Amino acid sequence: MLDGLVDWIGKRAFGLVTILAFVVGGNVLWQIYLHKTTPLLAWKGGGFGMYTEPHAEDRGVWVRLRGAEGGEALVQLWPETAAFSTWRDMAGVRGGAYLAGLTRSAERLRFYPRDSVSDPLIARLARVRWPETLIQEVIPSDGTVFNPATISLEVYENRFNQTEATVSRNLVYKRSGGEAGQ
Amino acid sequence: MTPFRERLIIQPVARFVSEEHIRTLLILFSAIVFVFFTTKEYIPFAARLVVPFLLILLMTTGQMKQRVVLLFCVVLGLGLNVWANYYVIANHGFMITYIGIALMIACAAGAQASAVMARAAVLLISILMGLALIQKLVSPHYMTGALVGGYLANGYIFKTLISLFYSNWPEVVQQNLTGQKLLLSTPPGEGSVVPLTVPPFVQLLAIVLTYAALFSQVAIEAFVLLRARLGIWTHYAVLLFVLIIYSTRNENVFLSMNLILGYAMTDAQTKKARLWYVIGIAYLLIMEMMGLRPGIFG
Repeated sequence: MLDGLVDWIGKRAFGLVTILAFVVGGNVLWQIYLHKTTPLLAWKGGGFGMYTEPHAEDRGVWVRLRGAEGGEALVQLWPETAAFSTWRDMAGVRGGAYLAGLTRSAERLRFYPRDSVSDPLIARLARVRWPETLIQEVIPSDGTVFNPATISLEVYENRFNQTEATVSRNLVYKRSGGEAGQ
Repeated sequence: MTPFRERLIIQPVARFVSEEHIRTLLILFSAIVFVFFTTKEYIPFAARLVVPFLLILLMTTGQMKQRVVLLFCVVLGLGLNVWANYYVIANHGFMITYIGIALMIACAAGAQASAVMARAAVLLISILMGLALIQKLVSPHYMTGALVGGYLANGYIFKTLISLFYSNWPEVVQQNLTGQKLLLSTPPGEGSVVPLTVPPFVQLLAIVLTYAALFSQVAIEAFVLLRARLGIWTHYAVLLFVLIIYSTRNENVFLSMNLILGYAMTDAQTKKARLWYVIGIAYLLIMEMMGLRPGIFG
């Protein structure tokens, strides 16, 4: 059977590499479409658009937490801050692993921020008891934790402007737990 | 004077890589996959452990069927990595998978393996270079010079070279980077713009480099499409292109993949270029493994 399969591939080798070329080209075109219509980075998804647009290093992920009495806290998830890493280091083995998981998810969210990735992250953020060092005076909406409907994820991007010699920060993606019906 | 490829130490290597096209391709592919699997942190531990042994078998087997099966196993690992990290991995994760699939198909073709691989290499280079060029042309960020300008202002490219003419450049770059880092960490709503220090000559350099890169990509595309007429010059152009990119960014693994495709494109008339491709790939992979880069390109 294996001999037959190898023989089959060998006899159609020129045709198969042509099909491969179409698959490669098709994937690039699909990535270009996604990049132009969604916040997918030009660098990712196999579209070979590297060195055309800002990199993931130019993106930051924030979580906005609306408190019970109208207060609002903004916590930077990525790049990780010193306050967040100190909290994680003191959160014990399980707690630390949970918080490290949040940071990893935030890091990955930068590449292609989309609802299917951010909704589960919001659900996980809704189980966190935030320390005062990060949310200051804001009182969590559900006693010790924030209700998913009061949590928003925001992705910002730094972009260089050649003529003005400035770097501006723009919102490229936003999703709240309320929109997800959580 | 003895020609370089005829020297005592070089001659056996030159002869092997010039005459044994498919075997050399398998060795080069194995070397690239090995470096790729051992230097990229997102590759799972199990894959790092198993794949090197498969590569040793792949390099040493002489049987066509075994080569196809081993390549299938390696491609499966590469393909799973692409599948699991589709929107996370860099483009070279895709490229090495494509090369692996092409090599597997070529090996199944037996006596025609070299011709099949050459066809696959031409298709991959021309499609990927062509579409990468289109990505640049449809990107306002790139076309305004902002991409290259930002890289210069942040010291990501030609930092040392610019410092030779502008002694304060390292401090300026540091200030620019600090400002942007601060902007990224400033709570949204408390500031959204930061000015950078970019001397006029650096702004001009950004525009020149932006269009030079476009031109070089067009030139490579033309060289590959006209390879039948241009012969060995197509391969010198590919080698020069890789050298130019190497001088700007540390993309050793990706560049070695460009070189293996260049090697695959060679035929009986252009096999003189094969040794240079092999030297280029070896150099890039060794530099990648050692984490070294010439200081002048820093």
